Amino acid sequence: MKRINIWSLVAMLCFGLTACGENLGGDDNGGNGGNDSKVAIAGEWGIVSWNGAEPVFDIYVDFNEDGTFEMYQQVYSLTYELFTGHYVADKGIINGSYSDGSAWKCSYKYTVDKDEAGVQRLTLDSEETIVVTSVYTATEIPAEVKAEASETRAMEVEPFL
Amino acid sequence: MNKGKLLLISLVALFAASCATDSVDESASVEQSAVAAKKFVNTSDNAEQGKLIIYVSEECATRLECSEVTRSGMTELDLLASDLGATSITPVFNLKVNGERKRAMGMDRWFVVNFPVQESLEGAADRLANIDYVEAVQFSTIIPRPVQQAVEFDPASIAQTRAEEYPFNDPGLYYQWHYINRGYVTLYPTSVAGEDINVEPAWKYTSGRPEIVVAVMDEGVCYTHEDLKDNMRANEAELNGVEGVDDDENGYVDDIYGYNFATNGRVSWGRDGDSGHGTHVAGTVAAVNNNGIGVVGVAGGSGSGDGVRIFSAQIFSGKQTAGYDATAQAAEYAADNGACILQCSWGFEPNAFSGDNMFVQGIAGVEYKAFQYFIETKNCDALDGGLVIFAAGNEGQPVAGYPGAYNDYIAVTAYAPDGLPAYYTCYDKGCNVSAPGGEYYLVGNSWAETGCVYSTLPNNTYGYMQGTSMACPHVSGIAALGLSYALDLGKTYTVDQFKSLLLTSVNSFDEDRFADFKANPEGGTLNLASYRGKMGTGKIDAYRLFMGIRGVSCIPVSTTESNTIDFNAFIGDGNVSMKMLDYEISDETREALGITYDAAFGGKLALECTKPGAGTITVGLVAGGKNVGGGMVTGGMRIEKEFAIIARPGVPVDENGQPQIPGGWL
Repeated sequence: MKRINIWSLVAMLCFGLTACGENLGGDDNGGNGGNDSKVAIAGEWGIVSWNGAEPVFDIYVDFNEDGTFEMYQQVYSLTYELFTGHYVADKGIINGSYSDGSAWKCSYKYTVDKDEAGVQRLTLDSEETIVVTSVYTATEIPAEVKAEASETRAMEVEPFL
Repeated sequence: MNKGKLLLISLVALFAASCATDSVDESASVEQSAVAAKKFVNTSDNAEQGKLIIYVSEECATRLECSEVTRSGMTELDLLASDLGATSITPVFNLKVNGERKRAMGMDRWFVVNFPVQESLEGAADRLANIDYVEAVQFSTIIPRPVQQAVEFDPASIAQTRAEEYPFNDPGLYYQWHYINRGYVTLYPTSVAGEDINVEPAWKYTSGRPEIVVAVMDEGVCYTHEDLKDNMRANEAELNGVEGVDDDENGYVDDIYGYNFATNGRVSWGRDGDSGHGTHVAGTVAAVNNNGIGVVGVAGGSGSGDGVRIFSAQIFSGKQTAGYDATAQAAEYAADNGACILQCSWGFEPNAFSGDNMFVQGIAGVEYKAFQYFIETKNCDALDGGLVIFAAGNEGQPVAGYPGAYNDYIAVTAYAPDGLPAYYTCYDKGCNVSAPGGEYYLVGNSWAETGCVYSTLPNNTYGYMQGTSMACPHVSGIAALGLSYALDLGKTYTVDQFKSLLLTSVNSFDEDRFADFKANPEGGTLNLASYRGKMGTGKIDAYRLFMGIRGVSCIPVSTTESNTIDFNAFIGDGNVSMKMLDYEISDETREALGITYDAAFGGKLALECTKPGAGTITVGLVAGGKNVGGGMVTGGMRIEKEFAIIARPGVPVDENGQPQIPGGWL
């Protein structure tokens, strides 16, 4: 009986934590729970602000619910490039790694809310000495961006990873 | 004092006075000759007889404009005109169109004096130069005529359709390695795949827009050609007007698809001495694409009437060639009739001018002024002026021929299907960028032409030609294509910005191969080492231009380490070699990036940033060669390129301080 009670307690605790994660994920304010936080930020995002200004570059990220992501960036090259990998969102912090095993440059505090127009907004604050804020809004990643990044590039851009 | 002594003194005084007067007269005459000599802006070498170009004072210009020959009211000029039997003194430029702007540029002060050819040209010039209000006298030098025999080849003879392999269904595209080089050794034995203008991926975005108009300054363009006619820009007033009548009152009769300035008549292409040169370069710019016949043009559209438009500003006609005045009028006409690109596959022999000053003084005015007018005329919503693009020359000299060598104009060198300099191309000083010009090669004792550029020829024929003349329209076509794309995106540029974009949208030559020798089909070998770093900024790439128009690529810099930026790593394919002249960082960027130190160092920029942020740095570069042309120097073009900079911690730098691309953004 005693053993049964202990395992019941463990199970209840697990259930309770999961429920708590669901709540945090559901209120769109980031979260403390692993998988459910992924649900909160899951979707396609496009960068609208970096370091307080409209960026001259372009980034789209598709955070999948299964913990994988695809990122399409046009920053250091003239064409979009595709980066893939895994991420973990836990306790309001998101971190990840690329498919080649290299880590993200830092982890980020994240919040999900809505902007003035009611559009879903993802804010990432870098966990660095000087915090840099990036703001993304929910947006469908243009098909041409995906096509350009996935096809063999005519310009033979150097692989950056 | 006795009378005899007084007489002697008087005589001595008189003699002395007489000597002094002679001396004054002589000195005044010498001075006058020196002043007159300074008015000559060129020599009578290879000049048209019976014609002189003069630049006069404002008052004289006003009187001449509204007067008849020899009755301007300017006494000396009237007398001289009468003595010479002058048949006309007419304005060079057409002041009926954009007159106000032309007057502001002083273009109303240029006149042509026509007189019987038996009169001494130098004598007449001398007398004109001695008139006070004639401020400059110019001989009308005849522009060298391109001489080349095309090799005809009918694309309809191609048995196998290869449309599935190419973006357009024009049968000749297979032979146009200069657009899509698959490395077919049947076309050229040492052909290298990818040695082309990389236009295929660019065509996915656009293949032209009819709002972009290119004036072909050359032999006449065969506007009836089956593969050109749909992309010819027609002057509707003349097209629907009365033959022999200047329907649109622009000063030119029947200028439907352009005008023949060599003969002062209708555009022509079939006179004795015509080679098809103008039709060939026109086809490279904008032969109609995807119409199932003939060949493809760089900006010839998709087969839906959407190619860029061309018209003829003809300066060569049979064995006749326009002089300076008519060439100037052709450039003026191009500007007044909507062209934003002036395609010029011609030029003087290299070393005909010893530097930009000599060119400007030599051309001085009239032709130079007309080109300036073209550059300053806005005919495209995406560009605030016009682009002037020249062939570098085919003499194999380490200097481009003028006018192309002049600083404001783009001079194009040529490479072969192997991606190496063509054996004939001029290179080095004054050369700005390279494009395919093609090359004959030897098979046994015979020449094979399939390594040349394939394009349209008069009367619905097609054929091969080689030369920087053929390289030049590739750059004109790419510029036209880029402006089409800019219109699509709503982007706008200054002429300088667009030139900068164009000249940095390049791939480098494979420098390792420059250690070798290459067979020269005319005999012997080419020492490729001579061309190292001297073919302009590199091989022009249409797709890079498009990507440059679409957006910017950023240079990463570290906020935690010192950076020493070699900007060449961020231009074109990253292997170009352009000399940095200077740089400018705005206060806003300094603040945004927390810049604590910056200095030019060995052609690089040493930079220390303390804050994450974004900004821009404008860098002055030499496009072609190591020195900027101007003054006594023939050299490269100064361009200014704006780089976006992103400062972040963790950006890796190599042992030289060069920032490395950090990979994924997150």
